[in-house]
Amino acid sequence: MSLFFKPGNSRPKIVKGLIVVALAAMAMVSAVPHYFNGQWPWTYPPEIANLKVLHSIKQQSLALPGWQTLNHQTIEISGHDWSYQEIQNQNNPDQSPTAASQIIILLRPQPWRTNQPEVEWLDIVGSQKWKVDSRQQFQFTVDPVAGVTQHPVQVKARFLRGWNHQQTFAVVQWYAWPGGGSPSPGQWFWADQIRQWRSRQRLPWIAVSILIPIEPVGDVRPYQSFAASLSQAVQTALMAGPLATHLN
Amino acid sequence: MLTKQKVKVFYVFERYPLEMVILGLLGLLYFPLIWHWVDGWLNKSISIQHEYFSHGLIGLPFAAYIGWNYRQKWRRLPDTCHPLGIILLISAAVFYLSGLSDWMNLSLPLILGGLCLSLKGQAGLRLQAFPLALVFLATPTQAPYLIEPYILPLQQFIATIAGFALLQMGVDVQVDQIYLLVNGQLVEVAPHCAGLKMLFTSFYVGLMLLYWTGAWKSRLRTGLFLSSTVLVSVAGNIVRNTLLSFFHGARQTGAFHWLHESWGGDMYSAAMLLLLIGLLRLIERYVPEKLNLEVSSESIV
Repeated sequence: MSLFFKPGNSRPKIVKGLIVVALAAMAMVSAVPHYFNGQWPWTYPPEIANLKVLHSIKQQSLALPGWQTLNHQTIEISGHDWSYQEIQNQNNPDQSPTAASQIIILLRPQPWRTNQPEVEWLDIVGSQKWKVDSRQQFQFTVDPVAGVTQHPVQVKARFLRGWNHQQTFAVVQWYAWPGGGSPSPGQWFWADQIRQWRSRQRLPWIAVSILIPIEPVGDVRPYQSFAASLSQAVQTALMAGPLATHLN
Repeated sequence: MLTKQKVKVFYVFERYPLEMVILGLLGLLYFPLIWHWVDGWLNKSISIQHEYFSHGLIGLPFAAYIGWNYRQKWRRLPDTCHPLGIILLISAAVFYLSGLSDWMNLSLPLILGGLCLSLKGQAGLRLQAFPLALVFLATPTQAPYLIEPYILPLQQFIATIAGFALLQMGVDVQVDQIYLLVNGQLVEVAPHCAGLKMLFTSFYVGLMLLYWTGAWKSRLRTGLFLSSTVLVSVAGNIVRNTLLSFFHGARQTGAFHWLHESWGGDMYSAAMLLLLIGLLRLIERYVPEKLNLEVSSESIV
């Protein structure tokens, strides 16, 4: 006790004493027990609730109301697996606003729990040898999915023109996650951090690319509202399907 | 002899009991975490982001050595507590207790900085600023992950220059953004290949060299050395990427793997770091500590 009550320099001693007590408490709570059981926090990092469901989109095509799936398979782009799905408007295939009636949806669920989004778009651009221009961003809102979400969800997507000598596409790209979406890995990162702090779980993601064929080197702007409504349908289907089990 | 040493050890504990307890508790809290870092760096078993900080293998012992050498000066500083120190300590405790490894990592520099501030105030932080900076810059965080999407221009620049160099060598090459098409083989200049890691390491080793040689006392030499470090690192990386594209295009798979992930890569790193030492020697020899732009009237006469 004499340590704490020496006249003259008592305050620094008290600070030191408090620091010792605090460090000792920290060590007792979250270091000492691990020395005995050997289970350090980094040996058991937060998990993804159900990675298998996330990967089901590779086997099962995404069901979009009003759209018919013509072809669904897994393809490899720059060494990575993507789910490739060709869709066509069910009711009036000929009145599609696009140059060709088939639209391509490329989906890539995160392969493993440790994988973070890493600007997957570049692989598609590179493999197709696209020139990319008319870069824009748009936002869309996804209505609450019955039994899954209570609140509307805001999603940001990038919208651009990708073209090569054979074909020109209006392209929409974003990372979809339960409760949101954005083309920026940084946005996913912070959403993931919040989730880790709240519920000690990782935030799963699916990279989405929608390829809408348009006339050669045509203007993409007229297709924006159509692209936004299709993106809305895709995000809704993902949230009701493979991403649904990850919401809480 | 033995008794003498024993007395000395006891003396330290008797004279500075709380300081010794604090050091002991820090060891208890952080030894397993740092062990985990070192294991990840040596065996490349955690993640690419973690590997970015492997310079901690030399940086952390160096920081500990410098910090320990400052103990006389530290003792002479008056005991005073800066309130920011307490805030840092509390946030470090929250991060440590979170059990989320990125945040646990970050709690180490926070707790060390917090201890300096709350035991010796601002003067304490200033005294230990350099070792603290070494610890902070060696603490594995997700910073490289957050930076990577923004270095696309650097990737494009490297691809363009490498493509140009290959053209001069008479190789059939096409450059498209970050892709090099060499003899029909596609090579991507990925963010990791863009030399971000080498840039980090060079910068870190550069800081250590500046401190070691005392050159940091001259702002001119420091600025010149660090900016040329960045230039040398980028230039070296262009050479490396050119060679890699060439090997890949010429289908020399063995040579490609040797430089890409085998000991060729380590040799390249070692050569780069040796180059830094040479660079610093040159600067010390030919660059004055200060630019003296005043014209002295005597010399004119």
